[in-house]
Amino acid sequence: MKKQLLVAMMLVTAVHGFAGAGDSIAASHAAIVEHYSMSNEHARLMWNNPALMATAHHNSLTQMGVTISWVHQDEPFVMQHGTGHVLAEIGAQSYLRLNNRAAVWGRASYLTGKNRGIKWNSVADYDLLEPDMLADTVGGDTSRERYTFEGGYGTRLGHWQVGGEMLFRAEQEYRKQDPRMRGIVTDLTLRAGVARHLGSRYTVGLSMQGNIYRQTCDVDFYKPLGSVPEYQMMGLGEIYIRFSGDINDLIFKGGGIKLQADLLPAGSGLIANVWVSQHSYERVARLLNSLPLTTLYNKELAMRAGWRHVGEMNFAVWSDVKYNRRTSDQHLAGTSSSQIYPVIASMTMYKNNITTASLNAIVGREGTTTWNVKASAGYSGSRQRFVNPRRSMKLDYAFGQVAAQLIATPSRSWTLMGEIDGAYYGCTRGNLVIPVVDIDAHFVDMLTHNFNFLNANYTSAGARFRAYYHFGRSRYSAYAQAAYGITSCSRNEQRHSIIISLGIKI
Amino acid sequence: MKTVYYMIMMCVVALVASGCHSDLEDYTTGGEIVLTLPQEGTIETLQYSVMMVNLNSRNVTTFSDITASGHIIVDNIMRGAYSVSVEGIVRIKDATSQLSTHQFRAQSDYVSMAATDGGNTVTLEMILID
Repeated sequence: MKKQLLVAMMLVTAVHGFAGAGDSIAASHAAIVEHYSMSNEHARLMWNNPALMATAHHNSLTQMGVTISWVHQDEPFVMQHGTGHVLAEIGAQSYLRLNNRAAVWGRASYLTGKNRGIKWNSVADYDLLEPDMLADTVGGDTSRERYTFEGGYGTRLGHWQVGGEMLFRAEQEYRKQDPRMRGIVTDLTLRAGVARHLGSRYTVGLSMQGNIYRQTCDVDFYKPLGSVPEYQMMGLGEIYIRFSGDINDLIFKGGGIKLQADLLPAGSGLIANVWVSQHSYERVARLLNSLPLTTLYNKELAMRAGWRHVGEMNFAVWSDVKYNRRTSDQHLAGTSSSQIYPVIASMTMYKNNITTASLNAIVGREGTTTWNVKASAGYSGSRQRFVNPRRSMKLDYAFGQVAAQLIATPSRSWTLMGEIDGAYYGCTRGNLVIPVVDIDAHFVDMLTHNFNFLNANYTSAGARFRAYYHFGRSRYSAYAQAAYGITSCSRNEQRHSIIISLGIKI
Repeated sequence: MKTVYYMIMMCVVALVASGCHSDLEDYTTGGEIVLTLPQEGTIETLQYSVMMVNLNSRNVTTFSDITASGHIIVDNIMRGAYSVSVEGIVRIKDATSQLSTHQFRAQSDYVSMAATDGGNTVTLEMILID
């Protein structure tokens, strides 16, 4: 797999050798500005449509480098996320403009490292599969490996633009001491899109995305004594009691579709986007002749509307609204015959409605020196509920964010980029209802720990600095990046993060 | 061109509509436990106490009552699989019209209370203790 990844990265850079010959330093600077400028942030969502991605950039950019990421905190904000990580990633990414009609883009990367202090989480991809997961009270550090391959192509055919893209992720997360969890993930996404110009001012796009997901997950205990029960979590601390304990071998299988429509102006004008998706993930117990235990449904609807102005000064103002509904159906098993359990009923026991709304604005100017300033403010609310026995968690947040970016060329050989940002998330309402008397103490401890940190205020700040050194008159550059971030919680806990990257630009 | 637009929109609507999943909210149901005698006779009076344990959640439901027949109504219970245990006192009239009073129990490790129309019927044979 590592040999194949290296070949893929070499192919990415070799193809660029044919497409990008003869770039000057000015062209390199223009490519860096175009790909990294914050002024494009309103359009990045629309580049999920491969037909629009094909016209996203006028300049090619190919980079290959190594990134080290370190995150640390003493106590986790959410126990399932752990207390930090140390990750190293080697990767290559490229956007090549083949001609004024077509573009091709791709990315390949390998990531490895350790997640620290994971508890109540024995699966990979917690954020995707929660609350339907396997968990125990011990936890520990986990090792992680991830391979990603992405590639897309788009072109113009007459009045139409068409494009296709494929994204593949293979990942495993495992632990070398009891409880020895292992989660192996394969995640394939295919996208296809079309776009058409409406007169000379606007482009309308329509795209579809399909996803196939599979994870095998198991937990082993090598010590003859001292195994702990593995719980089939169902949400808000509730467990599928009948199959919790020694059913440690699961498969998560599913996927979904996403539909997206976009309106993008050629210069100044309206920006609009709407997308809707539904994904489902079924948890299957392999030891019980593939009995489905639960099925998680994740439905999302998001809309964006705004206006952008392109001129001597660029600005964009837009609003985002997103509605996310996560529900989990519990499949009730009947009596077994030779370890074959029939499903006698299914009921939606867990429900979570998440609503997010924000107003965003970016103003900036591009040129030899490019600067951008962004401000956002919004609201987010979640309502989690477990039907019976009744449990609920309600959380509301108001948030504000500001960010500034500067890209400059102090000399012919250097391109420098600096960014600073700050954000505040204030919890305006938090409420947790659980039947404390009827559930075990360790479930109460886990729920109250997570709730105490969710029902808190967060202040974050960060800075990122990236420098490119251009070699002579060639198109080759070396870059280095350092970034630092701090998130401070009102519960007297802080998270620190440092990211360092080194690489080359071709 | 308009035809192409309409075809695309219809495909989009059909995809979205066919993919939508509705919540399954038939949470409760009802039914009946029918107790039968191990010998000839009829039940004159039945005083019972029922304990139903949900096999999937381990929730326990208990209720007691007196009835003039062997039919116990189960009302407003979560759908699922249960183990059922019934205890109590039964007054029996035998074939010679003699009345006798006995303690009894009846039990099953698995009964299904999954039908949504409330037509879940469980038949248990009483074990007379004395």
